[in-house]
Formats: sequence, structure tokens, C-alpha cells
Amino acid sequence: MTISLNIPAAGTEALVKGESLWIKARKRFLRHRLALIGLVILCVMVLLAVLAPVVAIYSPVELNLDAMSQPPSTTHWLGTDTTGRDVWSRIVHGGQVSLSVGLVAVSISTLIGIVIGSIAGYAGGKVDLLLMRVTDMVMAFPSLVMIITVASVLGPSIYNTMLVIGILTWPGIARLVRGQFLSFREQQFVLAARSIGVPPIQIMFRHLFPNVVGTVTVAATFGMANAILQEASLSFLGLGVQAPTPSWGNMLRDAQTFSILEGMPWLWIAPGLMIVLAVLSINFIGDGLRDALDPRSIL
Amino acid sequence: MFNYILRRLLVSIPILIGITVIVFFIASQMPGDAVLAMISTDTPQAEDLVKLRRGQLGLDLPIYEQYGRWVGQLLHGNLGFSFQSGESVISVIAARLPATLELMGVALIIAIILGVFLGVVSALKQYSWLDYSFTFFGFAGISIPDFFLGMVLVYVFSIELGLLPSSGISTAGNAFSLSDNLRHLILPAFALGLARTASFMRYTRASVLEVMNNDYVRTARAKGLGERLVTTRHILRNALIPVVTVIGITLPTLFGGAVIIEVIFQWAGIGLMFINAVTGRDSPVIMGYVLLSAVIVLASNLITDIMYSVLDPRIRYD
Amino acid sequence: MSSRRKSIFAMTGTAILATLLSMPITSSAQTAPGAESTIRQAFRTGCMAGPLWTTCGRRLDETVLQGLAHVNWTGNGVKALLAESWSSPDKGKTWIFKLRNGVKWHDGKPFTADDVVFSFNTYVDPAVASIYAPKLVDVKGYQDFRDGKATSLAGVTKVDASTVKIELVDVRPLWVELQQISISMLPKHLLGSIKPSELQQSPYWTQARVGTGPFKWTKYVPDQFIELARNDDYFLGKPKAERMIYRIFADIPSIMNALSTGEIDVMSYEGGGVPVSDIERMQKVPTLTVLPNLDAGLPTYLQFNFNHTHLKDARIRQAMVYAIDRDKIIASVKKGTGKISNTMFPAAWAQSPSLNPYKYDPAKAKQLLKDAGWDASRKVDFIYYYADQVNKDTVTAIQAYLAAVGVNIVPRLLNPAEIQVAYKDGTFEMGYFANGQGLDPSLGALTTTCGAQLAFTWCNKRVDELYNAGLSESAREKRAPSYQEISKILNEEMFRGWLWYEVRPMAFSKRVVGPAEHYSQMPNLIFDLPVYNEVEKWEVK
Repeated sequence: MTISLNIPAAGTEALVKGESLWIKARKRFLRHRLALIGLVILCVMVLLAVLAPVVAIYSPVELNLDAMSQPPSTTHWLGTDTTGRDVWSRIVHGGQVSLSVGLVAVSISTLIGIVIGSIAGYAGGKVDLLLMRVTDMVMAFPSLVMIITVASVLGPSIYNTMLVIGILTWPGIARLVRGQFLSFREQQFVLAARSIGVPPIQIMFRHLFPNVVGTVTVAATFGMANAILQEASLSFLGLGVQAPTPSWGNMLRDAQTFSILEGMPWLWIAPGLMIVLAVLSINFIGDGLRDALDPRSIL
Repeated sequence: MFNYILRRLLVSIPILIGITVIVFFIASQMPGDAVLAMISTDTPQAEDLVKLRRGQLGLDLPIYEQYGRWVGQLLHGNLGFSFQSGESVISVIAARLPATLELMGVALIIAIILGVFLGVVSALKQYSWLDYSFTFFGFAGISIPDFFLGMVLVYVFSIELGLLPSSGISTAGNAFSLSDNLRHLILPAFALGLARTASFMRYTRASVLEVMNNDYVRTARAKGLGERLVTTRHILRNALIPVVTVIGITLPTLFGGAVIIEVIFQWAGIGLMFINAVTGRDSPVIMGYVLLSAVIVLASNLITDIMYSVLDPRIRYD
Repeated sequence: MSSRRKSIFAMTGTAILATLLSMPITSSAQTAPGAESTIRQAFRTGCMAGPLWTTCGRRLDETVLQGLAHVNWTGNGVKALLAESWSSPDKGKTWIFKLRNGVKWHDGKPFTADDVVFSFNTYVDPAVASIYAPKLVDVKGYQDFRDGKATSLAGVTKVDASTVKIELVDVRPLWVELQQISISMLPKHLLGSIKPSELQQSPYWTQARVGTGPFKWTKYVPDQFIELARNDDYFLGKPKAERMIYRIFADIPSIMNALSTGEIDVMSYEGGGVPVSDIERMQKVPTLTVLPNLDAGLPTYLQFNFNHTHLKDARIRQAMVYAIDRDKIIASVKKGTGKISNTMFPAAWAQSPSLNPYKYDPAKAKQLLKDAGWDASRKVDFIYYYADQVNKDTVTAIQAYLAAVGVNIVPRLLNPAEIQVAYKDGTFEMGYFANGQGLDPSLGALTTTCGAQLAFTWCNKRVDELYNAGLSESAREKRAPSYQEISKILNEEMFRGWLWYEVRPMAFSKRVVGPAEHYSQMPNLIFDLPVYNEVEKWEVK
């Protein structure tokens, strides 16, 4: 989610003083110390996940019944689980899964949200009314209810998890984009563009869209944090990523018995900490981005 | 305003129909059905029995006919009967709703008190270490998966310290006593409330900051009013009103989050009921829950919008 | 808000919190009348439908609704309850039940032969759709009633107010022990006027389940608990405990927590016992008695779907069992619980003394697979449905062992509703299954092979003959040879890939005398049957 920091200034021609605004934004972001720390932590996590095959010494799924439930040691940095699998290897591979679930799910929801929101906001009238009712409907679907139902119909798998979370979490972004479009579409620069015959698609994406990039980025960042938590909740209910594929969520679920909570803390501290750290970092980055890009929003 | 509310209510009807149609058809696609789910995995049952039982529950009808039956019952103010227990769905829900409302209500109060307090302090001390640590605390609250927080709370407060009961609503079989009930409530309400604290905190902080920069606050200060008076009389009073709208935004997530918390603490509310119904493929109960939750979400959205317009005269609905 | 008001709020809050926290967990229990003499048991959610429709409410039936006779907790024979005695003039084709005199329903009405006739008919009535109807398949007139050609069971007749005659279609010397015990008696005066198809919706099941047992229904709070009060007029003597509470739980971890904090005294066994990973922790709780090795009477095995031709060669099935180091899995993953099995029946008297032990031998497994022409590139769909950690770990271990000899399974976790679909449609290749075998080889889920659902098209006529032979005698010595021969055939054919017999560890609070003592005397946990556990003698210390 760091890309947004490098959005070229050209994209903001609609606002008064483009260049200085971005420099200001960057300054504001850099002043948010928690966001900076979050960014560093997230980068390390992403790096570890990408390099998982290299940094993980053992296979994340191969078991070793002679080395079960071992506490952290020099051979197994984070110990082994109840079937002798190396926890460190599972953590880094699990990071791949959990972070990509977050990323893919939020990409899906952002994409749908932008398309529906901008069409509704730009077109207005009946189209807006119809699309907003659809949005209301998806919003009124209790997401957990839908996720459980869909996951048990399609069968629980990592792709379905991404898909389901993505498909059900777009209304927030759609509403945001629509709101912004509605307020911008009567402004001078849009009216001017329309009067010289610029096609609507171009107006939407060349003139209006750059104005909502900040808001959408902030919302998407929080959305990603949420998606990672959703994956964990789904795993808790047994509907998330399935064994033996590790994810932080299902590792934490597997540590649910109290004998593990009490006697084998390395089995829950590691995945628990990873989820909390990842979500916390992303949330801080989101908070920093909000201060930087969208200071007036209080979402 | 009245017309606006009426129109919104009318618009909700097709939304509710849409939701129930979709959920009904999706739920019918779940592998297995109520009859099969009720048979223990240890003793499979003969085909003819399954057929009989399906016929009895109406599961052998085509799906659109089943939906038609359900809507027919709905129009008569009846949500059908639970496949699992035979009780009417309305009484199944009515028996469990108060528990969920209690849990949600107390969690909301915890979230509001904690969130507003932390938000006000961190705004008044913007960019101080206090602001940073409260921000950190608030974000930590939304970053811990609530099932994990619940597990840790049970482990620490009931298993290790033995201070509070591990699960349930009250000591089973005792005459209801409020103190007993509250003791059972502390852990789940806290687990549910903590995750919602952050949104109140962030909203309060932003709102207080906005008000602080207003002219009338500067005027009040210029008049020589004491700092405490300015804070309480001018800043807080104006800043906290909009925070009320966050309640509307929070309600749906509170309702969803209650499901997980109820499972962990075996809190006998409608969230636990819903999970049991999904496991048991008890579609009348699933539908009852979905209908109720959709109504709650739509109502919260409406209430939020109304509050916005009441609190901010600039927003007008025609 | 003034600072004084604020501090008052803070103080009140702290005070309330402090009071709440300072109360020990059980203190509130002592305030309720009769709490000292209340036994609290765990009960599983979703088991409320009553004995006609659910397979998991038996422990409630034992105390509220009763049958003519229940199985003794020791597993040998049955205990006469509502029937005082019974006899068969023709070696098991006709049965005459003499009812106990003076038994009253909890509402004071007398229990009579009319109730017995009503109950048997209700179980078989197709409009009721009871899942126990097949238990009465041997009763004369069963098929006609099921097919709609008759409106009642021809074979069940009232002789006089306290005598009932039941005629069977064939000689069944063990009919009372194996079939009749599943039927709980229902009150005709309360249920007789309800349309059979609407019986399940009757408030009887949740508001006031009137029975004849040692405890009376007083209250049901949905998803929370069922409260029962002592039946002072119980025909076997006034129960010692004043109240019995069944607290309803949806999952095992919560039951474990409630046991260790003293919120309940007796656990449920439906859905699993103490997880083996938790045994050690529970044993450390000073207030609990843990029975770690209670036999579950449950053989666990690899199920083969014989519709798939590549599983039809017995050598392939034998190879898979040779390939799995079962001792190692039991010692490590299963923490020493469970006993190797090489055939279906857990009871020693029903096992042949010369079973092949299938010792771990991967080399032999590879050889057998090679001889049978196994294709190592094949991916085998493998289902399982026990979602607890130990079973998941076990499946992971099995996957690894099988992969080592070239059998690549792809595990797929099913939920309880889906497993029945798999049974019915056979939509799988292999699975990790366990089926209750129970006290008697003929009480299990599979009592013949050809055409049986759980045989998945496997058919052995000799086995079926032997099963029938086993049912035509009543003395164990005479029955044993038949079952021993079956056990040998199932062992050699590896009809299923026998793994081990499960244990179902149970834990009880020492506060209550009775449950731990009775459960420890069971030869194995008795599933899905009403058990006579001398509940009336259980007491709180």
C-alpha cells in the first residue's frame, strides 16, 4: 500500500496547487511517527513473505513426529507445532497467504467500489438511485452471514476467501467515491470539460478520479487491515484457508486449546503477534495517509 | 423530513426482498440439509427415512416453492418453525434477542465511554506522548482479532485468576440475579467493545480538533475565559454532538462481531443461534436471523442519515 | 461534567467492578435453594428435539423419559424399568411385557399399556418420521404401516391395562436387548390428540416434557440450560439429588473451561470427550476425576469407496495399513490414547485370536502396491469430518505416511451435514471415518454388508450369513464363533483400513458421587442408547 506515496503530481491538476500539495502530504505523512514505524514493519513482513522459500528453512507442511511440540531452539527458531512442523517456516509462508488474502480482497473491493461509485456519482438520477439501492443491499447483508454461507457453498479455500471478502466489502468505497463525484461534478472544471465535448469516461477518469485517489487510498488501506482480520475470523470458524496450508488465522485457531495457550505459548504468540502487528501497521499507515492526503476526513 | 423517512422505508422493502431471495437460494445450495445434519455421524440413516423427513419439513419441494411458502408465512406474521427443535422461529429469536441486545448495549457503552474519553484527551493534547499512546491503544484495540482477545481474556480472568466465569449468561439453574448476570457479561462485553473503541476515539479526536479551531472558541479564549471552562462549555459540548452519529455506523459491525463473541463465551444470543443454525442447516432460523440483521443494518443507516440532518442543518433531505 | 461528578462516576464504577470481581465463582450458587444438592451436567446444543428425532439426547431421556428397559451401565444385560418383566413363549417371536404397577407420569396420571401401544405406533408412524423407526422393523405390520397400507402397527396389542403383547415377523431372541431398548415411552394423554405430522412443533418437548423418570422437567431456557427437579415418587426410590441441570454448550473447549472452574460437574460425550491434548491439564485440576482411557467403542479406519476400481484390490488396502506407523501416531499425535485395531469389533469375545497384526512395514507396502500395479501419480480424494486438532494432526500424519509409499491423498474436511451426503451419494474416494460399534457386534452402524450404505458397494455373502447366525442365538458362547469368523474376514480383506479403537476421555467433578463411578465401570462408552446409570443414587458430597 506504499504506492500511493508516489502518485505523480500531474494527477492532481484539478486542485489548486498540485505540486506543493503532494510535498505537504509527504511531509505530513513523515511527521506521523506511528505510520512510519508501521511502514517499516510492513515492509519487513512483505519482504519475509516474498522471500519465504528462502528464509524458511523447513517445509511448512512436512511433519516430523520425532520433534513434536518443541520450544524455540537454535534448530527451530520459533519451536515446532503439535505435528513437529517448524513454526518459523509456517509463519513466513502463512504471511504469504494472509497478506495476499488482504491485498487481493481489497483490490477486488476497491475496483468494484470505484466502478460502481463513479458511475452512480457521475450519472446521478435513476442510475444513481438503482446502484445505491444495490449498494444498500450488499451493505445490509451481514457480511459474516454471507461469508459463512458462501464459504460453505463454494467450499473453503484461499481463493474463495479472497473473493468473498472482496465481493462483500465494496459498498463503503462505492459510497465514498459517489459522494465525492456528486460534489465535484457540478464544479467549474467539470462543466468546462463537458461543454467542450470531452467524453464522460474521460471526464470521470481524467478529471474526477484524481480527486478521490486520496480518500480511496485511505479507505483501501483500512480495508486491507480489515480483510486480514476477516480472514482470521473465518479461520476461527473453520471457513478460512484450509489445512495444511498455513495462514496466521488458522495457526491461531489451531492454538485454541487451553493446554496450548498455557503450555506451548510459542504456538499462539507468533501468529497472534503477526496478525496484530500487520493489522496495526496497516492501520497506522492508513492513519498517516489520512492525515497526509485527506486531513478533513474523519472516517 | 417525514416524506424522506417514508420514502426510505418504502425503498427498504425491495432491498429486503432482494436480500431474502439471495440468501434463501444461496442457503439452499449449502451441501447437506437439515435432515442429514440431524443424523449423528456415527449412525447413518436409511434412505426412505430421510425422504419422509424431508417431505415433512417441505425440503422436497422445488426451491422457489419453498421460498414462496416462507414468504406466505411471513405475510401472516410467522417465520416458520425451526427444523432442529420444532419451535416457532419467532419464539426462538425472541428468547435469545434480549441476551444479544444486552451484550451489544453494554459493549457499545464501553466503547463510547472509553472512546470519547481517550479521544478528547488525545485531541486536547495533540501530538503529545499521551496522544500517541492513546492512538496506539485505540488502534491496537481494532487490530486484535476479537476471537483471540476473547480467548486470552477467558484464559487470564477465569482459568488462571478464577475471577470471572468462563462462559454462559448466568449460573445455570439459579434464579436470575443481576450481579450474577453482570459477572458473566464483563468479559464478552469488553472483548466486543474494545474493538469498537477506536472508531469513537478517532471520531471524537477529529471532531474536537475541528471545533478547537473555530472562531467562537478563539473568541471565548480572547474574552479571558478560563481554559477549563472553554474546554467543557465550548469545545466538548459542540464536538461531542456529531459523535452520536458514530453509533449508527457502529451498530452493524457490533451485530456481526457479536456472533464470534457469542460463540467463544457461549453467550446464548442470536449470534450463537445463527451459527448453530448454519451448522444444522436450519434454514427457517437462518432466514429469521438474516431478515433481522438486514432490518437492523437498514435501520441504522436510516438513523445515521437522520441524525446527520438533525445535527447539521446544512444537510437537507427533500 | 464537573470533576466532582466525574470522580463520583469513577468511584461507583470501580466499586461495582470490585464487588463483582470479589465474588467467588460459586458464591451465587450457594444462594439458590437446593443448590448444594444440584448436579450440573453438560448437554450439547442441537439435541433438544426429543427422542423421536435426535440421536444425541439420550442422557436427557435417561432422567426424564424412560423406556420399558434400559441397558445396564456395566454393559451386561438390561435393567427392567417401566416393564417389570417380559417373556417369550416361542423363543423370541412373541413378547409379553408385564408393566410395573403404580407408575405415574410426572403430572400424576397413571402409566398404562395404552401409553406403550401409543409409543410404539408413534415411532413407526411415517408422518412422525422418527429416526428410530427402523429399530422396530421386525415388528409385525411395520412395512404396511410405513407404506400407508395400515394406520397402526398390527404386531403391538394391549392385553390388559398392564400387559402388552408384541409379535415379530421372525425369531429374535435378542430383540429386547438390541432393538426395543431404543424406544422411550411417551404419554398418550398429552400427545395422543396431536396430529402426528405436527408432533415436533408441540410445546410438550420444550415447555413440559412429562415423563416417568427420576427427575421432572421444570424449565428450559433456550441455548442455556434445562432444569429438572427431583421426582419424589420415582418408582425406584426418591433420588438423592434435588435438582439436575443440563447446561447447553455448543463446543468442547467451553465445556472444558466450565469443568475446570467448577461451573459444571459432569461433561457430555457427544461430539467428543476431553481432547487428548487437554488431558494433562485437566488431570492437574484438583477438583476433577479424569478417566483418560475410557474406551469409546469406536473403531477408526480408512474408508474405501469400492465404486472406484483402483481400490478394489485387497493388496492395495493392506498396503496402506502397512504403510502407516500406527504405534508412532498413537504414541505421538494421540498422546498414547487409543488401541491398535485390526478388525471391526472392539469386544474381545467377538475377535478371532489369529488376526494379522499389520505391523508397520513400508517396504512390504511398496511391494504390495507394486504387485497390484498402483499408479503413484494418482491423486486420491480423501474426506474427514472430525475437526478437532488431534484428528486434523492425525490426518496430516496419515497423509505423510501414505505419500512415502506413493499413495497421494488430498484431504478434504467436511462439516457434519456434508458427511451424510457423502454416505448417501458416495462422493469420495477414501475417508477417515469412525463409526460407533457399541456393546454388541450386532448393535453397530453396520450389521450386514451387501447393499448396506456404509459398505459402499462391498458385499460378502458369508459375512452376512454369519451376522444372521449371530442373531439367532442368545447365549454369548454360541454367538461368538460367528462374529470371530467375521472379524477374521474383515481383517484379511481389509474391508476398511483398520487403524485403532478410539478412547473418549471423560472428566467429572469430585463434588458429585455417582457419575465417575458409573462411567468407569462401562466396558465402553454406550452411544445412542438409554443407559441405566442409577441416576437416582447420584449425590452431591
